[in-house]
Amino acid sequence: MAGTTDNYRTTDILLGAGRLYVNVGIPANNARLAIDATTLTPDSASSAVHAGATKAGAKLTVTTSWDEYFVDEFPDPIVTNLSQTGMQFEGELAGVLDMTLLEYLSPGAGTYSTASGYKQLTVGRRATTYTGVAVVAPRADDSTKVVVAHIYKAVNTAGITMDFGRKTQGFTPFNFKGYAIGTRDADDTLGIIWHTIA
Amino acid sequence: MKAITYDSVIAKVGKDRADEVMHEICLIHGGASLGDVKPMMGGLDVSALSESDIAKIQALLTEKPKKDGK
Repeated sequence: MAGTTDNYRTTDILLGAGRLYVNVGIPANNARLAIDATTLTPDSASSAVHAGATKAGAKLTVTTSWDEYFVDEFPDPIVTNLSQTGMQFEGELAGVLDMTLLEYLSPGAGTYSTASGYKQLTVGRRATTYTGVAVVAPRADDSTKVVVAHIYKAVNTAGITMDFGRKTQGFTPFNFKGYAIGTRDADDTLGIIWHTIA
Repeated sequence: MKAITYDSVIAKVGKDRADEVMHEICLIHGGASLGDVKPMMGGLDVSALSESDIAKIQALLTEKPKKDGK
């Protein structure tokens, strides 16, 4: 008999600002977003677009909800079954006057255009478009390595907010909610979280 | 090779053949279907594909449409 080995996982903590990218191409099955070894940013072939500064970073949430089943003989649930899964990024973006960014944030409603003297976002009705979203951040224990969270197909469900105020810097919230790509492997339909290793 | 969007396929092969060609590209890519890619802004990232798969995609994007009965 022997005791269990401690493992405080202090080299696996998450600390440090990441970069949020939209317009990220869908990787092939069993592939990951290619990261440039020098800049530690997505390879330009991915079509990724940096979404800019945030108010307090980006928060990834993976959710699962469970149904519970009962029999009359016991008061406790006897079995459970996964009912729903979800994956989303939340936060607030600083670049509220970037009309191309606002178009990414308003799928199905916003249309960007520009001509001499102006850039604009018209708001109305259009076909819903999806975007791949990823956050790439350096690892706290080794800044030459990165951690990546990637939702393959997402829609911002938070809309656009613009605060006009003398003492208020306007930030616009984002909530990129993931939607499944059913033709991918069953265990890889929504997205991926991964990091580079030595 | 840059990511392939549905719009970029339309630009290469025209609207009439875009669905057919995009479907073939999706089969080679393996990561999404035509219905997923059509409304995607970023398209398909093909950077992890083999050279032979890239060559097949480039051939699809450049080949002339086959005429019926020929």
